[in-house]
Parts: sequence; structure tokens; C-alpha cells
Amino acid sequence: MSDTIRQGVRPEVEEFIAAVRARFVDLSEEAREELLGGLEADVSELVAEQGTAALGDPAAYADELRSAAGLPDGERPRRRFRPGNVLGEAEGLQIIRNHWEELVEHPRVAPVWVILTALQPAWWALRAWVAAVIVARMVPGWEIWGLTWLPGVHPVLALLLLIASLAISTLVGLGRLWPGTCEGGQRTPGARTALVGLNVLAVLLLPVATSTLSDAQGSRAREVMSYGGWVRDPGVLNAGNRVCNIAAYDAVGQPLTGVQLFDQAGRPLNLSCEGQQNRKVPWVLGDVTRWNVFPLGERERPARTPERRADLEGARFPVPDRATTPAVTHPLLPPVPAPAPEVEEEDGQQSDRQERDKAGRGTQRDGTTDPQGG
Amino acid sequence: MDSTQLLRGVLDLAVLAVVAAEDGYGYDVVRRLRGSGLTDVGDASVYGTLRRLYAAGALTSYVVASDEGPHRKYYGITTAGRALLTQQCADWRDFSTTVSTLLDTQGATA
Repeated sequence: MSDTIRQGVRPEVEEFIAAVRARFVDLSEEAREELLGGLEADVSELVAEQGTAALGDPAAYADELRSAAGLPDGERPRRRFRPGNVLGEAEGLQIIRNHWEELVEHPRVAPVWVILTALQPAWWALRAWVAAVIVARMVPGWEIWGLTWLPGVHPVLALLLLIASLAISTLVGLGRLWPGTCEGGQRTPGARTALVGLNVLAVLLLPVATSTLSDAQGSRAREVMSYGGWVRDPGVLNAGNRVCNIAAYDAVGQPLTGVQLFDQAGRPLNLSCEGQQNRKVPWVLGDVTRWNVFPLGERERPARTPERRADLEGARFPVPDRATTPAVTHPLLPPVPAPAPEVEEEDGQQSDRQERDKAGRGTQRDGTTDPQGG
Repeated sequence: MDSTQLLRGVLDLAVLAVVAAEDGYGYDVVRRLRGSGLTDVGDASVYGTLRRLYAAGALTSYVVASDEGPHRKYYGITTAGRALLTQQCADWRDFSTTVSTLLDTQGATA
């Protein structure tokens, strides 16, 4: 309609032409304009001569126009497939299409089909995503990456890939892009068969794509948990949270320092928290750095380089804040009545013990500094 | 007999003949066909036929501006179109003669 002037066109005619145009959405822009070119003038003249009643049903009009113009979709030859008939590829496809159209025009199917047709662009997007995921899976090296757009692909590359496949899928969907597209917007039988095949393949590969997605999410979760890079296990958990330090107390609630902890197999307890080596200061027993001796000292700021780790300025050796835990009792052992003088003595010694604790931490600090410095 | 079925077979020929006589735009061709007695011819069938014959190279087209409304798309016949018209005329005459002769010899009442 690019060659028409809008002036003098009645709204009824415009509406009618728009409705006819809507029936040609499957055709290429060129084919559509070829069909509709000059139609506005012709229809305007018809209406001027016979009134708007002469317009009739735009759908029937469009079908008639299409059929007369020799576009196969409008003709719908109602031939049935009979086994033994040798049919051309195009003819065979047309028969299948006719069966399909009869099915979707069925009163019970038609309302569903209308919704499905409206959702067609969603399918284009979905199949584009499936194609991109399959490409991502086939390219070696695209394995584990933080998932943003596509599993296993760097987010920037993934976004570009996704946009490209979305554009291609949409152009194929609109009939603008396909090797077999010929003039008039009709696809060759080979292209139609290939397209149907690829659509079916996309449906079949959908579970593969979604499982890749969930795999990638799982890998990403594991990756995040082992972000520190030295172990893949989550370390020691307490009610689902990672344990990053341990404060130990004795039976009367006094804080203990330099407590060595081992598991049931005699392996040193490894807390392996995220950034553990950057944030914590290990104990040194003998000349060996020990991460299973608690409580670990903590730094005010993370020390990310070995040089920074050697520098213990800003490292804090925490005084546990729950040093007044009540006396511990064991359910299987009768409570041992403590002699009165001993209790008094212990109370009296509490400040001394705290003094010793501080001294003990001083030893830890010194002990830690020496081997790292040497 | 449903005349639209008969019309379908000869619409190309009729449209070619009308355009060969004088260039015309879509509705003009429809009007001339109806004026010649093909009263049942459908607008859309004629427009579709014009476009198909144009795509096949039998017709040429050009746009003429109109002061009153949208541009009109005129169609004219090409050399290939004239050759097609001549061929189809001969075919039609043969065919109609054959059918007429058949009806006469079989004693059908006209």
C-alpha cells in the first residue's frame, strides 16, 4: 500500500483492507504488497458505486484473492492420502497440511488453536534458547561458568549468542529467512520438511536443554561453595551454616585457648570457610601451621596476599563472649559435689586465669609470626 | 451448472482479453467483465488473477495518481501475454467446439 494516498479513503474501506491484510501475515512483505497494491482504489470505487454492503466478509475475500493469485495455501485441495499413491513431495505436504487444518478448524480444537497461534512467538523464543543451549553444549571449553543467560557460557558471549539465535528464529518464524524461501513467501517442499524436522528436534531437545540448565545450576552452587578454591566440600556445618571458628569452654565455663580438634578418623578438623586463609590467623605448633587449633585469630581486614598474611597487625585474637556458661553436667554420671574450698579457690583464680589466657594468645601471636617471618 | 466453476477455467482468458483490448485497473476490469455478461465474476478473483498474470509476466502494471482517492494500479498486456492470449483463445475455441459437437451428436437438448 505504499503507492496509495490516504486521502479520500473511507474508514470502512481501510478497515476492510486491514482485515484482508491480516489474512496474509504468513506471506513475505513483498508478496503481501503485491497482492494488496491498488486494492484500496478498487475497493473504494466498489463502495462508491454499490455502498459498504458490497464489501462482504474480508476473510472470504482474502481467500478468494489468494486462491486466484495462485498462492497454494488458499487453494487447499482436499485430496486424501491413500497408501500406494505416489505423490510429489509438495503434494504430500499439502495433504498433511489439509488434514492438519481440518483438525484445527474443528469446533472443539479451534479455540485452543487460536491461543496456540497467539503463543507462536513464545515458541520462537523457546526454540532459539534450545538451539543456543545445544550450541553451548557442543562447543568444547564452554563448561562451567556462572549461569546468567546460557549454561556454561560466559555471560557476555551467552547474551550475544542468545540474541543472535532469537533474531534468526524470529526471522525464520516470520518467513523472512530460510534458504528455501522463494518469491511469494512460499517455502519449497524441502525447506518446509526441514523446518518441521527442526521444530520437532527442538521439542525433543527441550528436556536436554533444561537438564543442562539444572546441571549448570548445580555446578554453579558447588562452585560458589568452594569459592576459596582449595576444597569442594562445604567444611563443617552447624545447623546448615558453615562453621568458621570454634570457641571452646571448659566444664566450669572458662574459655579454652589452643584447643586442637580432630574428627573420628584422627584427621585435623578443617573448617574451610570462604576466605579462611585471608581472614583467620592459624596457630603454630612447633614449626607447623595448624588450622585445627581454636579459637583461630581473626583479622580486621582480609589479607589476600602472602605478604599481608605475614603481617599480623590488625589481627585480633577473640575473647569468647560467652565465658559464663553454666557448669556442665553429664546425664550418665552423678554430679560430683565439689569441695567448698576448691570452688572458692577457683573463683579467686579466675582473674589469674584470664591473665594467663592473654599470655597464651601472646604466645600464639609470637608463634605465628616467627615461622611466617622466617 | 454452477457458472463459477466454468468461470474459473476461463477467467485467465477473459481477463487477458479485456486487458488486451484496453489497459485497466482492477475494478475497471471487473466492471468490463460484468458488462460483457460475466455477472457472477468475483472482485477478488479478478484481482488475484491480475496479480498472478502479472507475476507470470503476461501483464505489466503501472500506478496512476488520482485526485479523488488512492492511486490506481493499471494493468496492460505484454508480448508474452498476447502470445498466451492467442494460445488460450485457440484452446478455448477447440474445447468449446468439441463440447458443442459432443452435445449435438449425443442428442442432448440445448
